[in-house]
Parts: sequence; structure tokens; C-alpha cells
Amino acid sequence: MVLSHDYPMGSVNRDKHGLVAGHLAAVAGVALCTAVDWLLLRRFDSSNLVMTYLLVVVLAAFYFGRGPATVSAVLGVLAFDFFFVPPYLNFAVADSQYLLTFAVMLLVGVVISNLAASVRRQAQAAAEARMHVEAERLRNSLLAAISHDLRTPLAAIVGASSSLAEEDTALNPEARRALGRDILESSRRMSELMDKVLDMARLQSGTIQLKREWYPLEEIVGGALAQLKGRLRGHKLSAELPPDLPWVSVDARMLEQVLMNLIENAVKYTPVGTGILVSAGLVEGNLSVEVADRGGGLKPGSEEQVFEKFYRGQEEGNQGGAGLGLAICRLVVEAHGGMIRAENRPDGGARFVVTLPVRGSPPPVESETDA
Amino acid sequence: MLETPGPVLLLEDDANIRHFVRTALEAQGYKVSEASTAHGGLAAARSGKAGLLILDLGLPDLDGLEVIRQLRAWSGMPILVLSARNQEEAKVAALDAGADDYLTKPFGVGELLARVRAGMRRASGTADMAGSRHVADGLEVDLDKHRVRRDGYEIHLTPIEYKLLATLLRNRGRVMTYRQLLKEVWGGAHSEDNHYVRIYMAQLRSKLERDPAQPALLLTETGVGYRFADAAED
Repeated sequence: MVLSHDYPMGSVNRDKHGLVAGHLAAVAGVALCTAVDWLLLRRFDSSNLVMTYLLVVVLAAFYFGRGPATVSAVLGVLAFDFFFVPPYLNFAVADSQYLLTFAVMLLVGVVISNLAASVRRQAQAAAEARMHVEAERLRNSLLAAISHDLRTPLAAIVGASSSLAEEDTALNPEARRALGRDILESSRRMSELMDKVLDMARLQSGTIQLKREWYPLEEIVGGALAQLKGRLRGHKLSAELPPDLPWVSVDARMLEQVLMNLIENAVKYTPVGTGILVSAGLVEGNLSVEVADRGGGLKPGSEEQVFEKFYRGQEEGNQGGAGLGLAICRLVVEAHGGMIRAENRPDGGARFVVTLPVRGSPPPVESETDA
Repeated sequence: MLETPGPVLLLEDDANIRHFVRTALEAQGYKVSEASTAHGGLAAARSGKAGLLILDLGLPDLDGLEVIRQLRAWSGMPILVLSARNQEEAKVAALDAGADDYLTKPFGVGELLARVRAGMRRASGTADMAGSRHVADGLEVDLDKHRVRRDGYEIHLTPIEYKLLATLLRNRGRVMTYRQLLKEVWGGAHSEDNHYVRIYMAQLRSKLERDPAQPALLLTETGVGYRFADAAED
């Protein structure tokens, strides 16, 4: 969900921790190399042993960067000199040709570490550029979705209100009232769209701050239903919540929004007068909340697709919301560590199931002495 | 139309919002005076005889909270704050600082009038709050006799449940924040433990509501607190 930082050459040593670890690893690498060479390869010609140290330098450059690579180059030369160049176990050099070896080794080490550093920088820059392109793309698609879905209700508002504002009194009171209602309905659509877009933008930025408190599910359902009063358009809504469901630690406003989005979808996409059922239960230790309807159901095969941004149930359904409602639901539910899925009911209609983990229980409340 | 204990003072910087609120209130017989800055508003409140203040929390010159504090230093007039969505903390802070209720923008005329009426009722004392008997949708509560009946059947409440119910009833129609409820019912203890209130509200709902998942009387204001449904809202 959050745009991830993907550096192909291991993590950047941004923090002190990484820096220290890298250098320690370089030292360890040289030590290990020396040990292996000493134990297994002593009989090899020293020119071959030099290669093993260069290997350490390359690996240090690849995984840890320029600093550790340089350290391993220098240490490698010293170790090579000390252990494998006569006189052994001594930093003196009997044959001066080895000085050339040391110099080349150091040079190669430095060159490799610089190369590695520049490749890492390029990879970093590329990853950042990709991030920006991605963010740009998301922003543009949000804007495109908004502008279309805003223009329609706006057109209705401008049209109706300009009629009302006209000096011309050709309109009778009932006609004026009807125009007023149109303005109200279109405005509410715009408001709903704006809320969804803002929610989406906040959720996408990756910095979801959940304000978790312990809640009984019934209160969240009750809150959602209260806010939907008058917006059910003839649908009959019933809630079936068993008593004694475990409490959950959640961000109530966000979860309320999830329920509201699910119920509003049911209202929008199912025939007027049909029932909507909100039910809940404990399933395998998780809290399960369901919103079920008696509409036409989901297009078979689209059960996962419906949660994608901008997906719309009906092609020309300008129902407002820009197709973001379910995408928002999924982001919120998953931020809570839960899951949401959609499926068709065997006897007609669709059902959306939210599962939330139940971890722990609310702090105990001191019992009062009963009157 | 009810008795109007005093004019409504409207503290809002957006001209169109001021216009629609004024139009709606004057149509109901209220006298409305306006101010577009906090300082202007406070001055108007001091000089005039405002009976109720409608205060937008997003004023340019002074924080709405500050306006409430200054006003509360000398006046008990009802304060209705206008807040925006996702301004939970500001809303709760305003209520805890002394505001009586809130409206979330965008709001319609119906909600506005309901809140203003409720505020005026409380201010003039014509509300039921001073009374000890409350009746609502089959629920009878007698605060003097300490008796609660639902559909004729006596209901037993624990002391804390009763105290919670009584507090909400005494402030009927008005939202009460968690902090306010914790203070009234639990005294100074547990001032940060919202779930205490929640637990007892859940118990009250299960004992008193016909459908605890769709409460008609003990209303939840998510993120803010609770409200006992106003008599006129039935």
C-alpha cells in the first residue's frame, strides 16, 4: 500500500547504525577471508590468494558502500602482507615486487568502491524518480476522476441556482422548491465525493494515524446507522448483532466510514425497497462484520476488482464517490490488520465481509459496589 | 416559534454562510447580529444582549477556543460551534472549554434550527432539565424517586449507570464529551479513560434501548461523546 523504497543494492547507510554495521562487516569479511585462506589455501600461490581479498572488496562495495569497501581494501592488503607474504606473520616485505601487488590491490579496491558508490547513487535516484512518477500518476488519476464527477453535479447546481436567481418570476413556488431540492442533492453528492477523495489522499500518503480505542461493535454500527438516517432511500435496514461480542481496539471514525461506505453502496446499487442487513459474529477468533443486500449481486469474477480504485459497479452510474468507497474500505480495514472481501449470496444479492483481529481486551474497569 | 431570550450572535467570516444562517433564523423570528472577526464578535457580545452565540471555529484572527474561554469568563450563554469534518480534536476542545454543542459543515437548515432551538430552550430554562420526571419513547425516569421504568417495567441500574443516565438527562439534547461525563460521574478519577464511559453506555443501551445497535435515546457522537435525544427530536 505504501510506496516502498526499493534500492537494488541493499539498504542505504543513512543512519549511523548502518554505517557502523557496514564497516564491521568489512572487517569481519577480511578476517574470514584470511582464516579461510590460512586454513585451506596456504599451499596456493599467493597471487591466487590476492583474488580472494579482492572478492571481499567487491562484496563490501556491493552491500555496504564505499567506506566499508575502502576499509576492506586496506585491511585486505595488510592481512595479505602479514599472513601470506614472506616473511610471514610480519609486516616487512622480503620481495619488493609485492609492493606492486599491494599498490594494485589498493588501487583496484578504491576503483571498485567508487564504481559501486556511483551505481548505488544512480539506483537511488532512479528509485526516487520512480516514486515521484508514481505519486504524480496517482494524483493525476484522482484529479481526473474528481473533475468528471464534480462537473456533473456542479452543472446541475449552476443551472438550478441561476434559474432561482433570475429576476424572471415565471417559476411557481413548487418549481422553485424542486430546483432547490436538486441543488441540495447535487451539493450533497459533491460533498460526499470530496470527503472520499480527501480520505483517499490521506490514506494513500501512507501516514495513516489510527486513533485506536476499545469499542463494542454495536456502538460503531449504531454510529454509522445514525449518520445514514434519511439517506436510505426506502431501503429497510436491519442490524443483527449478537450480544457479548468481544470489544476491538479500532479507530471508530474510520471504521464507521467503512460501514457507511458499504451500506451506501448497497443503497445505491440495489433496488429501492429491498433489505440491507448488517450482521456480525465471531469467526475463528476474529470479529466478522457483514453488510448484505438483495440486489443483482456482483459480476462473477469481479469480487476482487471491486476493491480497486475508480472501479464502478455500473458503467454509467454517476452515483458520486468516484468509485473510491471500496478502495477506502480496504485500506482502512487492512490498516487495522483485518481483511475485507466481497461475494455473492447464494440466494441473491451481494455481501461484504470485514474481518478484524481480536487482540487482547480492554483494560478492566473497577467493579462498583452495587446499590 | 418560541420565546426568544435574546438575539443570536453569529461569528462567521464567510459572507455566504452568514447570509444563509441569518435568513433561516430570521424566518423563524430570531433577531440576528453578525460579526466576521473574533474581536468584533467579542465586542458585540459584551455590548449587546446576545442570547446565543454561533461561532465558527476557523476564524481568521483568533482561535475559536480563545473566544470561548474569554466569553465563558463572564457569560453562560449557549455557544454553538461550527466545525469542519475531521476536526475532532478542535471540536472536543471547544466543547470541553465550554461550548454547548456543534454543527459540522456543511450543515442544512434543519439541523441548524434544531440546535439553536435546543440551545435557546436550555438558556431560558424552559427545557425539561430542571424537572425531575423525564419521559421518552416508553422510558420513564424519575430523578427524585430514583426510579427508571421501561414500558412499565422497573429497570434496575447500578449507581454509576444511574448517575450516567441522570447526567445525560439533565443535559438532554446537548452533547456531553467523554471528559465531561468522566468528571460528572467519576469525579476526578479516570479522566483519560474513555472506555469507562463506553462500557457503561453499552450497559445502559442494553438495559434501556429497544435495539441497542440502533439507539433512539442514548445517541453516540463518535469521537466526541454522547447525547440523550432531545424531546423535540422524536
